Amino acid sequence: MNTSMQQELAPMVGGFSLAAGECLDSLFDQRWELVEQWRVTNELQGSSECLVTLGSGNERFQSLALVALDNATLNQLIAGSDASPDDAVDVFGELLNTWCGALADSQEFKQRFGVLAQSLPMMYVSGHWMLKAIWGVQGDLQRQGASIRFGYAIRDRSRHR
Amino acid sequence: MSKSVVIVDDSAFLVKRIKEFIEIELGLAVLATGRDGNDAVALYRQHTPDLITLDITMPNKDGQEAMRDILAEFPDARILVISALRADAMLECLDMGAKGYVEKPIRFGDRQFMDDFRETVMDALQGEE
Repeated sequence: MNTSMQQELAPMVGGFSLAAGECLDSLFDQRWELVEQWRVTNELQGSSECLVTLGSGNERFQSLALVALDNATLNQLIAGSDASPDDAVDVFGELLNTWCGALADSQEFKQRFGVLAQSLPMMYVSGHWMLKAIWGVQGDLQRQGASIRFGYAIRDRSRHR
Repeated sequence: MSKSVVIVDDSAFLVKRIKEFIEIELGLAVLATGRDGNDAVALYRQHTPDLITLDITMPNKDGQEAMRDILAEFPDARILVISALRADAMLECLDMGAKGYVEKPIRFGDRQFMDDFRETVMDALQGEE
């Protein structure tokens, strides 16, 4: 089933992945590679030991951005030892904040969705996560065997009332 | 005596990196750091630094509200906004009286970006009164 949201997100997939790569590279001074083909999906999902989300919205649209990774990658990126949940929210909330900012800077995104005000990041620990029935973009970045999943789901509130 | 700076951002990770850059690369004195807009106003009152850097998206009180409060009390305050919000938000901040604006992500490994960052900080510190 094709929907207008699916169709509208499809040409933006490259912008989502490029912005994610730029934000991740900048935050950690590392070069991360796109390895899995980023795609539009109505079922964002994954299994991870750490999931950080950031909601955004305006009068018409609601979105949820997420990054998911395992603890080994988390510790390697942040502390070199045991990173606390506070560390994870701090760093990956910032990553999501900049990713959403970069997306919003795209003319294509702004024309379609307008300006979305960001909420505050939230972290979940250990498990399988799934966001169904909302179209979004999902893909991975990898570096030296470590992997981070990015997801961005968005819905038109006027169609869900 | 080196110029003084207060840094406010809700990411401690980023505050640490900005602080290192400002102290080590620019030779400025970072007097204090904060995590939200309430910290920004309190720290400005306490230290009246030569420059305060503000993120926009922060809990409790955002950077634009903090800037409004600081400028109402200290009209000559020098404020540099460092934020992932761009375009309209950037113009609003400059209209409100910010002396400069740096877009996140801060590309610490990009020499050109960091040269521009350095120039923006120095301009904000030394620009017209």
